[in-house]
Amino acid sequence: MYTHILLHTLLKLAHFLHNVYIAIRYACIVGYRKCTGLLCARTELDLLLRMRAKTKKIPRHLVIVLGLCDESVLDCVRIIGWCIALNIPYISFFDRNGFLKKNEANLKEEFAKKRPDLIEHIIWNSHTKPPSQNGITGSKSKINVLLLSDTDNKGKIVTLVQSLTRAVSLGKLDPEDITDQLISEKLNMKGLPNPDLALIYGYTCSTHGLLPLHTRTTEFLTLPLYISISVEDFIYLLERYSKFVQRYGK
Amino acid sequence: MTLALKIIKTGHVPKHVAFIMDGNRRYAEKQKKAGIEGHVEGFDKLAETLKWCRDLGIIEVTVYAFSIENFNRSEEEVSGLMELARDKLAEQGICIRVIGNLSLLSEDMRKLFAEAMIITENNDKATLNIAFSYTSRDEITHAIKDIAVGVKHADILPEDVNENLISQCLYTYKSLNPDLLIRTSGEVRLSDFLLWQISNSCVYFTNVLWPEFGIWNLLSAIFYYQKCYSDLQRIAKVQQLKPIIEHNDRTSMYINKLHHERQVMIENIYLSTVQS
Repeated sequence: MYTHILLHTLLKLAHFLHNVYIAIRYACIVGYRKCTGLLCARTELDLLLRMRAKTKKIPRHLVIVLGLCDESVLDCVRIIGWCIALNIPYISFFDRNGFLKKNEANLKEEFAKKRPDLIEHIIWNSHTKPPSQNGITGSKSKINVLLLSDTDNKGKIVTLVQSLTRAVSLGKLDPEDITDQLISEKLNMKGLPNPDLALIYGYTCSTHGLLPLHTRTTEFLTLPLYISISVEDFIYLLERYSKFVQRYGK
Repeated sequence: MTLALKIIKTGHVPKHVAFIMDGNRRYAEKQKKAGIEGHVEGFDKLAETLKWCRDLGIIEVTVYAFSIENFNRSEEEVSGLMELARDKLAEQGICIRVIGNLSLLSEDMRKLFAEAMIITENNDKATLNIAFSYTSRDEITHAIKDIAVGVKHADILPEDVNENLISQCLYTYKSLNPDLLIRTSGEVRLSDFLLWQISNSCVYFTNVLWPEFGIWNLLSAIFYYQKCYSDLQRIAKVQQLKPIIEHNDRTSMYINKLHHERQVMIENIYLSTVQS
């Protein structure tokens, strides 16, 4: 009994020390960035443009998985701005409970307030017109911004199965004709490519149920939890992504 | 090491852990060995990992052996895995289940799997699910097909379709969802593995190659899981707030029928092995 209490205390201590270590590390990184920021005085846009110039592989579709309860609309506004600078053609924000969907008007309003210069580059929640070839063009191209929740994930598959089975019950479809191609076609979000990269913002690295039929080759990375998402971390993760090689089972 | 294991055990330990065992070939290349040797060491590592899991109180493990895309790999690898399953695991009271599209396998392999499943089906000390010729996409497609057949035969109605029903029609219907998924070798993809089942799971990526995976890597993964535990609980609580859709009698009967048919299919393959 006493041994168990002692061992459990040691475990708690190990967790505590680990948290302290992470907090110190983050504080050091933030401090270092502040110092170098003062010396070099680079703006967010400078950093993004430098990254764009040296990186060959940029995700076509980036998903931000918001695993926290207190999803910040302001963070989304900043991330959309960064994606426009990097010519990422599709950005989705996914939170399970549909917080952003409920606050879509608020997000649009904030964006219009903070980045009036970029408002014309955004296509909200519609992706009928794919932008120019993989988004790497000279001028700033349009970005498609999508807000996703649970209903777009498993919920959408359930709705599809209901409609397929209705067709079966009416004799319009044979179960044998249901293939993964058919399902992919039906779930195809009007030409929206599958996510290339998902950045998880939350305490836990988890898919949170993100698009089970669209994420088999998606790379998952976690954003560190600072007070707000920093452009340096965003760039660092995109640079990591640019180095990934997909081996497709070889 | 034993002390560290005892300390970790005093916290929340996942009941079900899934592994994507990646890096056997790269390990062989690194060691300048033949590819098959990497897999042999990978199998040994699996046996070792299962022992650690049991020591820690993890009662269910799911491993991703080879996906359909990787299926052109040698049959030697498969027989190695099955030998391991038969010789080592069955004796230890471990129940073996193979999840995946068995119809894509050769008859010999189907028989090997059916035999392992039937011989060990009453073992209850722990469960090892081996994902073989498995992809999530194929699994979900098959579940949808089965549901469509159910509707065609008027066992169920289109309005009976919900998330629970789909989950019950997956290859993994006998298992609870994994609490923790570990992928080795530094890849940060899920490669079509349990994508439906891991919605609420903690995912842990590690750079170590599978044959180099050690007890400290496993303890680190569980340490990470423990750090995430309260967040995972919070997420689960929010999910529980949503209305739970219970199966009606019609759906329950259909699910029982489907599970029975699958069991009979495995038994028939096994019986054909015994008779031949």
